[in-house]
Amino acid sequence: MGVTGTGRDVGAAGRHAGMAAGRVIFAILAAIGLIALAGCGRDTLGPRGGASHGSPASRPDADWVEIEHAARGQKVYFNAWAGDSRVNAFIAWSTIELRKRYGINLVHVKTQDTAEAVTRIIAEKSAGRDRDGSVDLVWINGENFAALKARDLLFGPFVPRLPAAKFIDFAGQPVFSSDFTIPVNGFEAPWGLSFFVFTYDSAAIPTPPRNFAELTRWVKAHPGRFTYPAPPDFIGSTFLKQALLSLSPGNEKLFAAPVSPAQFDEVTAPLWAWLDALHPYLWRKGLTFPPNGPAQRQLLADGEVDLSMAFNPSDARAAAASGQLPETARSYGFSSGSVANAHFLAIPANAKAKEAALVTINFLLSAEAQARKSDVRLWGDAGVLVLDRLPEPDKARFTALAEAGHLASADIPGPVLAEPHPSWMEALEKAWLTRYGAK
Amino acid sequence: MAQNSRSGSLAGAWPGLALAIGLGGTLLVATAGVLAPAFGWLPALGGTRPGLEPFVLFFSSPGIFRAMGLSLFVGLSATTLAVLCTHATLAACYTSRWFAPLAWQSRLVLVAPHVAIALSIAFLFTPSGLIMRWLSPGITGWTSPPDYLFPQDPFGLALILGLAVKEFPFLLGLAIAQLGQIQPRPALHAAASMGYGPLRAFILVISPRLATRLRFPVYVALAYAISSVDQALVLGSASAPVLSVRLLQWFNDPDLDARFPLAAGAVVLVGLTGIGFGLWWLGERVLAGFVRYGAASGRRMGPVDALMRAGAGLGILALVLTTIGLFGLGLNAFAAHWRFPDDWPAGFSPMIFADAMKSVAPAAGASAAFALAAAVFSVLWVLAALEASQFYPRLATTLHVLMFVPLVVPDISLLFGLSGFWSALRLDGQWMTVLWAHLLFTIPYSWLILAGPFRNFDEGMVVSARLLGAGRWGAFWRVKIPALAAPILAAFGIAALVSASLYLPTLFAGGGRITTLATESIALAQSGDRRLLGALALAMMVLPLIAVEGSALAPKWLLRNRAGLNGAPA
Repeated sequence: MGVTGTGRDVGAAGRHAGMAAGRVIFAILAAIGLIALAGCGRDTLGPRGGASHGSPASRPDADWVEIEHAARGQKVYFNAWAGDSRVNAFIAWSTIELRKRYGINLVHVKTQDTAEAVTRIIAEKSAGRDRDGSVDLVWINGENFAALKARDLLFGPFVPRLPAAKFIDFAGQPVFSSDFTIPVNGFEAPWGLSFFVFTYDSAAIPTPPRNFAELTRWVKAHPGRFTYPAPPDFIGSTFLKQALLSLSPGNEKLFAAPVSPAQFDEVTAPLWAWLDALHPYLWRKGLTFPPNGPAQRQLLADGEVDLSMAFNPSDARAAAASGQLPETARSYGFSSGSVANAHFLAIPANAKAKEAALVTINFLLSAEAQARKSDVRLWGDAGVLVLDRLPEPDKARFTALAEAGHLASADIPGPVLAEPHPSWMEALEKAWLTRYGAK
Repeated sequence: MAQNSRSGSLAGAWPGLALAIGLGGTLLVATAGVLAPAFGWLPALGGTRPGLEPFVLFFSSPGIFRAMGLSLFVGLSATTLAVLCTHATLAACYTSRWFAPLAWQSRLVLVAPHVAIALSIAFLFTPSGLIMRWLSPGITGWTSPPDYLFPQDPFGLALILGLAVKEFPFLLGLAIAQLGQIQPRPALHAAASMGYGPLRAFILVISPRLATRLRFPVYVALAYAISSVDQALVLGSASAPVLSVRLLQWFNDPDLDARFPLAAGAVVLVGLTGIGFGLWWLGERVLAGFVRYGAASGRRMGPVDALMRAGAGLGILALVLTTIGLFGLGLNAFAAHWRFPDDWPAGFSPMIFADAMKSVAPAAGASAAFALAAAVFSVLWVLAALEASQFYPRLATTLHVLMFVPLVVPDISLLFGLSGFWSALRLDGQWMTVLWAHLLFTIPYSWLILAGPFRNFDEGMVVSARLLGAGRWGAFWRVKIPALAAPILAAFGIAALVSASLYLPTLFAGGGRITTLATESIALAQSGDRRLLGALALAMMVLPLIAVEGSALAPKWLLRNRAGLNGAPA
């Protein structure tokens, strides 16, 4: 573009100056774009992107050193329920440790409900994305595990390959091998153990209800002071299950098998009758429900309700340790029985960073991580290891916690109610939503 | 020269062309991505028979008409409230000494993202919230919280309040800028000399002109209110949600067949917004008729004055309360214990704040990075496109029209259309894709702010500079850019602000794998650990405040040696 100095052409020159400026700005933009694209390309198309056919995870004979080597530099998208800030803080700690020790980049994908991750995996499958999926590791159990396993969307069996597997208490805890009656078969690794508890402030109500008959009387005597998380939140759904198991006793065989519609209506009739009678006496008259367990714990902390519920016997101790609930808070199980189950870690079949996912699971099962998870001041979730089988220094981590009174207990102080087949939970959630859900 | 221009035809305009193609292409992909499944075509999920089945599914899902009605009701009510409060506040305060502090106060609420406003309102009004804590037990006598359903009431009243509180300062800020051009004082003085009260004078003389100038922003606000998702998730009813939230629930449904009614619903939501626009237009006509009638009646005073005073009071009260709520929520981040009915926290703990900040830091970093990248990218690109397209009127018009689309079409509809495309190309969850989604909204805002000043720029200044011996670049950098520095920096601040508050675009483009303050706070709003929410609210206030205040102050400093540009008398 020639520069013209004559007056007649100054207007045009100005216009050209403008265009040239535009071009320079655009060139800067293009450069930024190219750099960014290159960076993004490295992320998706680089040499270590994706488990190729020879990758250690895909060869059952690959030894652990090889897996750890391949895991270095991989990015693990860990889809984990993020409703509890203490759990999130624990995962944040794991992220730092994994980067330091194994060069793994753990990314906590914060889900509101594990079903979101299941949806994503199924959607990827139906779109033909058989590898390089967007979920590498998922915190899972029950109906979500059943859904993925039935569709062959899980990687494994991988549990026997983990060096930490030999310390897991498979013999003592049948729920580690049978998740909501579905055989685990090494497709998910047990991570923690829970049973269903109620939490209350002993300074506010000295004698909380200890079975469903007492609960009914108590709720009617104290209108507006009780509620439960809206199913399909897992705490809310578990409350429904526990009520069903207690209100329709003697049906263990029926609950252990897949649900049939005809039986469902008959067996659940007492549950719906009970809920219909209860709802007018609930918080907000049963017109709305807290979205999840921690939200109900906040309602308890705010004095809006007198009871909350959790899948963690250390719920009250942990919440008191963090200052959310007063020191007088207590958790307890119903004398009529508590639903108990385990929660697990699984790897989708189309996961991109399988090696790093394996190393992450093995780390989360290490005595150090398990002891930290059991510390009620940090999370307070009961562990899965046989302490007597651990080497002395590892065992000492747990004994020190126990002596200080900070170890989460795995002992259930009452009868255990076995989880029904996952199809019951799905049917219950659907029926609840039809009756009381979004209108 | 002339020959050169003609042979180069559109080549010289390529930054503008690239923007038109980028934006137009994105909108085309989004449209196709919604329309195809809405009419039954989505082969990945077995949809190979085009038809109206998805619409049948949509309209037969329970409570869907209630959800549609609620969306319309909420959108129209919130916008009506915001517009009335804007006119009333200006009528009541424009000439008073309260006006300057009020304008500053409204900016504080303006920079807070929608989610932060929603959290503030929830913390204020919930039965165990700040207001009840202050009133109890002293005034109410209650030692445990009452049991009423607000927020999340089934009529959407809390949501209306949240949307109105956010739209009011937005419209107020724009109205103040417009009043600078209308120069209302002479007209008001003339009206006063004829015996009209100040409020009535403002409504009869200034409001109609102001309304004309604010028409487009009001439609943008209305479209937003009809389809808002982030505020609806916090303040709306969970058991009787608005249409946009129903669509999001379908998006998260593990049963992928829900994508078909979802696509149909995304189309319906666009139509619903159109109906909202129609109703608004009608309402405006009716109101204009009343104003004309009032003017013709010749009355100097009337009940309108009281109504306007009430509106102004309501608007100012809402702004002040929301600010108090934000700081009250922020206080939770430091509180060791703060239980109902205590007026203040029983103790403060720096540890809790440190912990909360640690868990908020990564999301805050991501928010800041996206805000900065989106602001730089959109301002530079818009500048280049404006500069390049100024001599190509057809291109300029095309760009102008394209810019309006993302502002008036419900974002969930656009983003659902794009999400299929992104995930098919495995672009979801990438940093670049989230930036792309942010640009879809930050570029139009930058354009709206820059287009006017750019058009009105006196090209003669560049010519004079060239005649005085400045080089091409010298003239551009030392004359044109400084002359436009204020709007450029304002566009930068607004783009950063818009980016920091984007929830759905981050969620859809990030595939849940990229977390910003906006997505994190919605996720945590549900589980309600209030100390963490407090830390999030603080972080969400600080970032945009830096961006907006910084971009307002920067020109004064940058141009401190240039009389005539820095506001100092020449």
